[in-house]
Amino acid sequence: MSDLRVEYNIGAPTFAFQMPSIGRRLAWAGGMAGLGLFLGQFGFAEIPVLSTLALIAGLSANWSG
Amino acid sequence: MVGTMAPVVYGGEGSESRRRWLIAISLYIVSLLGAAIILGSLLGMVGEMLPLGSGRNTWGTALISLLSLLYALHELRAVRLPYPEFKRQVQAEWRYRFHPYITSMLFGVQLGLGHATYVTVASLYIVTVATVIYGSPLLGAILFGLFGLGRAGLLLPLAWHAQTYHKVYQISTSLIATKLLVHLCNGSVLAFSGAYLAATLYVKHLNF
Repeated sequence: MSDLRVEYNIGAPTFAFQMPSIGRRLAWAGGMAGLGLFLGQFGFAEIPVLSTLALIAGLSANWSG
Repeated sequence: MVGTMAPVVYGGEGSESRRRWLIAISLYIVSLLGAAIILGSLLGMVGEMLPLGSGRNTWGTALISLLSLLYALHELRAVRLPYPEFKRQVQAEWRYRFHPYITSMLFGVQLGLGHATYVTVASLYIVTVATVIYGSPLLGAILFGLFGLGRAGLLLPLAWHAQTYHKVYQISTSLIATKLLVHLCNGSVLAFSGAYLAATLYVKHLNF
């Protein structure tokens, strides 16, 4: 929650997300990579991971423009 | 896109406006999904024809894993990597040139192709590369179908709430304000995917 700050525009309150520091970002990514390494060692298929990535890419595309 | 596809854009208020909007957004979703699935299938067919050899699953997975990890750093704004894209949005003038239903379909096709406009996140590159490398039209259709589902699916609830210009403005500004969070999420998922693929590669192919 500390990364959220409230901004007030003309009649339209919005949340402006601030990127955490580079150290925190890399630590977070390292944690996710560690989780990936842990789950990947069980030798499951690659397709569910790629499918999730495709779905997230599609959802994220709504933030364009 | 919320501002473009919101009911308020289709004029007036009430059930007639909502009915026109439902038709337009249905055409938009069908066109977007169709274009995405066709593109995915074509990319899979192209990959199938490329002489990538029998070891495509091995080195291909290694390449996808490496690209995922590198572009995770790009999404987290730790490094800057090549980011090829058409720097344009959908053709806004189509709204004045064509009937709203035709425009909805054209917008759907253009956005369903993924690479025809701005590429918001690098995850799309990884999905594209994976589709070509694995060389399967079916897999391509599934992956790009899911991309299309995500792209079209979120617009539906967002645009549904955009009943007034003020609401459109609120939703649009909220999307802009949370864009960095989207990059952070994508960076995390890419880091996870890259490491996961590296581990599966080791277990399945390299760990004799």
